[in-house]
Amino acid sequence: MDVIIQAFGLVFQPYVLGVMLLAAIFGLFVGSIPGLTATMATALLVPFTFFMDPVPAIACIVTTVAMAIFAGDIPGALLRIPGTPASAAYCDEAYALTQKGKAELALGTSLVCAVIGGVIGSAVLALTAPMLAEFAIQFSSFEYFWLACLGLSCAVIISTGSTLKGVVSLLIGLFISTIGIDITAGHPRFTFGSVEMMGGISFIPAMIGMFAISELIRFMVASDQPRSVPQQSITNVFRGIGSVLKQYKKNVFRGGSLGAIIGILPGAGADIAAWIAYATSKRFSKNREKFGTGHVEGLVDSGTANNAGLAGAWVPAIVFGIPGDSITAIVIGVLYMKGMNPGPTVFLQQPELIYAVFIAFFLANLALLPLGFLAIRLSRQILRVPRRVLMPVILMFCIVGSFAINNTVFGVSIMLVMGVLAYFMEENGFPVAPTILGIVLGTMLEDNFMSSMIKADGELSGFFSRPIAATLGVIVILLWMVPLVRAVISGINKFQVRPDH
Amino acid sequence: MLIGVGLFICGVVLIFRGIGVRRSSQTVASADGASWIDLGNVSAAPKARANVLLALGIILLYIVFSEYTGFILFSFCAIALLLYRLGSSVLLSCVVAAATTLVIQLLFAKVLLVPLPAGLLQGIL
Repeated sequence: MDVIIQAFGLVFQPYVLGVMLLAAIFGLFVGSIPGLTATMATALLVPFTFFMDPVPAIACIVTTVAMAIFAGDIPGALLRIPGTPASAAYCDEAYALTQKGKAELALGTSLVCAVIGGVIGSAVLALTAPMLAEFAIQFSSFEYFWLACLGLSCAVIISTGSTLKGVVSLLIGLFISTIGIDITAGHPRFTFGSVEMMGGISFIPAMIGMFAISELIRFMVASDQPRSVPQQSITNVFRGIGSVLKQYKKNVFRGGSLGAIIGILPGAGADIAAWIAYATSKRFSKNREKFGTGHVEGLVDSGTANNAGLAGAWVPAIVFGIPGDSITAIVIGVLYMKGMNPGPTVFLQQPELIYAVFIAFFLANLALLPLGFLAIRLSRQILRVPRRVLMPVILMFCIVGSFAINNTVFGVSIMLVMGVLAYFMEENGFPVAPTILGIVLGTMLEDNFMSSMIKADGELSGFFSRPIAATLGVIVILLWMVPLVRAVISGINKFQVRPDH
Repeated sequence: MLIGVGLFICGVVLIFRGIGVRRSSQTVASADGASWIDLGNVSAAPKARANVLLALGIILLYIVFSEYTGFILFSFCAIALLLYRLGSSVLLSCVVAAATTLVIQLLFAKVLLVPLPAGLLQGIL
């Protein structure tokens, strides 16, 4: 109980609350501008969180992301352009409602469901994380090695597009993480004699490049068409929400729990949760034919799921230090830079820190209700801000942000290179998320591999000598087999089809 | 031995990466029938291409010249130029550029104590 009171003390400070409020406004703004994603919001924030204590830093990111994911629904409903990828699943549905003159209902449902989803996700996080941590405390480097493998493999398999491209993306990330001085042996790798390369590729500039600069290039390439917001009154967003929630209360819980579970899976975040929840809702609905024509049911499911998934993704992140999506990957990177190693030991040594994170989650999601309402009211003004004015400003913030980490222009160079790389990767269908996971987990993977090798005296069988490690190892190897088996099966099918023709 | 193992991991990573890239580029080539990499829309509109090069050029110029010109001058000119190129009016460009520069200077240099380069304005400020 003492710990919880301490945690409340950590969160309810004017400084932390002020940071959260600013972060909330920032998140709502970024989320409602199409083309600026929640991940980009996080990337832009990181240079600031770098100068904060762990609790305000995490609270800041949690609030921004929760707000941005909801705010992504606003342009989705009004303009049929999802503000963030997590809103893409039900964007058409919400827009169809607006076309019927029910923009209020669409936005109100999104908001209330986002809040409920966020609270469900936070509850799942607060309940499962400590239980898992108790279990995880027995883990040694062998188990962590397999867990990191599992996280990376899931990220590749779940990522959009071809698995092979996911693997390439992951290996690029792992390669980047090997640049610099080798942790165990002190041998410089891929540094080409440059002193700055010896320190390794700084994570923050790399991430700003991958998530912000690449978006910037994409915006520059595409033209900025003027958008017209439909002239509909959106003042009374809460009208009729009660009956919607009553009618679809099962959907709220299904969406929330589904979202949280998908979030927990490493590699799958809020956007995948929304897609799956929408599909599930359609599959089990009595009014399947109404989907896509402005039916709230799908909106309830997926609107709840994406905010729940957000919190779910934090479970593996704080229990094992294995990020569940690219946003938590950024958070893990930030925590490492602060010298805090996320993992079960934090639960023992600084439990108040963990509880403070939980409280920040609940607080952020509850604050979403009034602040989201405000954002909806102001949405017409926000959507009128032209992106061509914002982009140069964002560019300068990116430059200064990557400069500020080490106070050298080398960070700016990293940002430039990674931004161009990420742009070309995405244009060619390579997902970026596995790369960022590779950069974050690469060091941990290698570290655990090396210390396991030292412990096992160079015997690879050591990785299967402990029961949990062996189980995890088998799961990972089975996961690796899935794409291979699939390739073989499709090969056989082709072979069987061919003789007929 | 440890160095050996370390380099071995990198080697394996690189080999896998090489195989992966080769295989995927083959599939891309067979699907599109043409280039190794897709440049996206860049090649389409010359004006868009110029804008992208300008934005990337600004980052590059910052890397090279920021030490000399100082942050304030550089940031103002860069943002104003880019805004103007993207279609804002001269007045709006200058106002937004000045405001952004001021906010960044205050936020990073005064609050977060990041030593942004002073450059040519060294004596004046």
